[in-house]
Amino acid sequence: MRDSRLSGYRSVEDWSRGCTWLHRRDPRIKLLSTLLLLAAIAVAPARGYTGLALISAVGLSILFLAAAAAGLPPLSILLRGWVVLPFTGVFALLAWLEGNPQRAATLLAKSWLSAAAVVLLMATTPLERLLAGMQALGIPPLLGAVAQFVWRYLHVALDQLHRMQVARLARGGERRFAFAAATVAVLFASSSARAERVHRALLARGGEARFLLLDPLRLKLADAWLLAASLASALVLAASGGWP
Amino acid sequence: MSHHQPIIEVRGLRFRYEDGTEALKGVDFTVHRGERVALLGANGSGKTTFLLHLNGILRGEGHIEICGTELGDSTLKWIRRKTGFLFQDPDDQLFLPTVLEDVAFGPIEQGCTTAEATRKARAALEHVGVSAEAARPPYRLSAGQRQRVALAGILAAEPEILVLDEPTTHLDPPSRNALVTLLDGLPQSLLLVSHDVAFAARLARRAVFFDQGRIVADGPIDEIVRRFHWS
Amino acid sequence: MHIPDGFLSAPAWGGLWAVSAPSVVAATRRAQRDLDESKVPMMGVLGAFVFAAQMVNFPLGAGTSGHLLGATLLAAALGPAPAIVVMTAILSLQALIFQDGGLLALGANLFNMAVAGTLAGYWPWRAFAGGRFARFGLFAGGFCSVAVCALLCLAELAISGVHFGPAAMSLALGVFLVNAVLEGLITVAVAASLEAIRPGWLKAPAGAGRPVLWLLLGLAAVLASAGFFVASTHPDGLEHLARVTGLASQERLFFKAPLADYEIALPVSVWIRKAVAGLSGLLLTAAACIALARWIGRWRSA
Repeated sequence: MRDSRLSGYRSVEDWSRGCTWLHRRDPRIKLLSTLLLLAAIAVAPARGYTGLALISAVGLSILFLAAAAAGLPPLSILLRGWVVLPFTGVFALLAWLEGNPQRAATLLAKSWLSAAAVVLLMATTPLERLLAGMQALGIPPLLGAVAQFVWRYLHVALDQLHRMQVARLARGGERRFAFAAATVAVLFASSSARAERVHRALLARGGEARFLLLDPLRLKLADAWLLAASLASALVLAASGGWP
Repeated sequence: MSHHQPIIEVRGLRFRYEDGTEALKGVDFTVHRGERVALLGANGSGKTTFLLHLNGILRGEGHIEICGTELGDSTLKWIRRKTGFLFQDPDDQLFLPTVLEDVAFGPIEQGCTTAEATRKARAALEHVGVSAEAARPPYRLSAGQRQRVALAGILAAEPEILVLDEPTTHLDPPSRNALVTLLDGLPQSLLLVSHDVAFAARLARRAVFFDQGRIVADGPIDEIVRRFHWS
Repeated sequence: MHIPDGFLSAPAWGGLWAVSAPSVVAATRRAQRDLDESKVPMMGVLGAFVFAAQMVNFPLGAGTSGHLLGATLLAAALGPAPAIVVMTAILSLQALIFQDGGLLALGANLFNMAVAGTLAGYWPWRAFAGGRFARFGLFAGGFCSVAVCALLCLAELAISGVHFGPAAMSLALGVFLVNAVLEGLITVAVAASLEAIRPGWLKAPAGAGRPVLWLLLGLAAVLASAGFFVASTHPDGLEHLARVTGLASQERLFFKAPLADYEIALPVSVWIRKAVAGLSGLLLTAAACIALARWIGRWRSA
């Protein structure tokens, strides 16, 4: 089970509730900044290994500095990019075996950097603010509400899953396909029942689920500075690989 | 509304499930302002079903009056404001991303500004003793803390009647005692469904006993417990 | 199958966003119209269920295990439009919180899994729901959702210049086939367990039947042909694409069919040969699925 990844997110979640300058920026701007950076990483052409090394160095520095500015442990953030390895590793290996090691290195570098950039975003923005920001940018409200609910009740579902697995093991049950299927089915039934109860509780409290932020989103001049800085960094990054 | 008028009046409540089983077979029930009543009875005897009629989540036949107002389509919202339900599993109730937002949901629904709702929410959290967790998501709290947050959420909406469905299920003894102290200090009328008779007896003097969809006894809690061997 | 950032070329991830974003918005509008507001908690909680269920290990023996995608179950439980919305929410959360799939690549992943995968899972189920072959419909739904998703994923990677040598291609196809069969089996198994808990939970919508079946077969034919076109050895086509995207090297993509089945000795162009092979492969798979469904049925009732 990927429970370890969820507990891994716990630190990110704690980090996200800080109050440095970067934390206080509007989530819409932070999202756009991240996307700019990701686009720069994606399209940056690398002229040979040196070019690739430059791109990686510039990218890592940008993220390192941003993390430090936000009061977060920079190395920790950067290292979390390792999650891309299962998928990327396979293709990098394939490319290397086909005699294209530079492509392998490019894949690894770019996907790792991209993942680290997203970690930085999540470490400086609480999830509910990010979702609210996305809704303000035009995501349909139904989608945002569903996402909030899914996140809220994921832990409940995982807890129940964990309890069922423990109970099964305690009864001497081994890991079997049929048991896994039965567990999932019970989880489904229980989830439907829970959905009914949640709906009742909502009714009792007066109506539909409304995900309003108590501290509403407000664009400030500082956000414009952040966007400008991100744009500049993205341009530098995109160009850095072409110098030698 | 005069002091002698009941705050809850139920006459002849009947309810049938979709598959035809009769869950409530004519229930009469009266509660006066400030009273605390324990609802006892076996599982499936209709206690929770009955409670869900009081704020119109289930609709049966019969007459229901809350705070002097008859329950109907037009009065549902008003009545739901007056009744604060604490459900058995706080996870069913806390659906917002952070504690503070969830507690502020009630006041916002009632039309408060965000500033005022935040103020009320913080006051409620202070009252139940979980102010420190205001910015956290509910899944990071213990069961007892979640229970208290759910209670804060209801109190912030300033109801006149509190309805609690098995509140002690997930609580350890210290949390249970804390809950008793908390509830004891509240002025609202209280309806309490609980299998924990000792807990109920610390709060309520009166009890009604449900059996197969009917209230078969209504009186002092010690008598009811003795009569039905309910402990 | 969550593609990270750094793999897809700009036209690929850009173009797929252009396709998936309107699809998701359209699905959301449709879901909003069809459902009353009490369904939002249901969608959310079931979404949480699928998210959690995706983390469950289904042991296959020899230390390996498979995982559920869940698109078919969602579509059967909620209907296609709400299922698309829920899958979108799940994939977006996975990208943000776990970096499971990139943000730029999210458009592609949404198209593969949330849109195409969900629809591919829904229609087979719907075609057979409520009839004698309901179980087969569930299996076929699960199978198709993962198969379509995998084919699209491969196609997107190929277009972006990722090279698949012969061994790699056969391995990839093999893995995807196994996953597709697995999804079908898991879907059927879960549905069967559910039937025991709550009989009749999956009610087929009114009007399910024949027309959908033909639509489904037609789509399958189109997809098989398209899939093989993309992976074909038609050198001009793919190299031209590679040159256009400007990110692939100038090597020739060489795809040698791994099994004899994929080649049929007919005196026509390579592409037609492959398309015909693909279609006959599909028919064989369908026959195998029916047999498998019957066997599962017997095993379940034993």
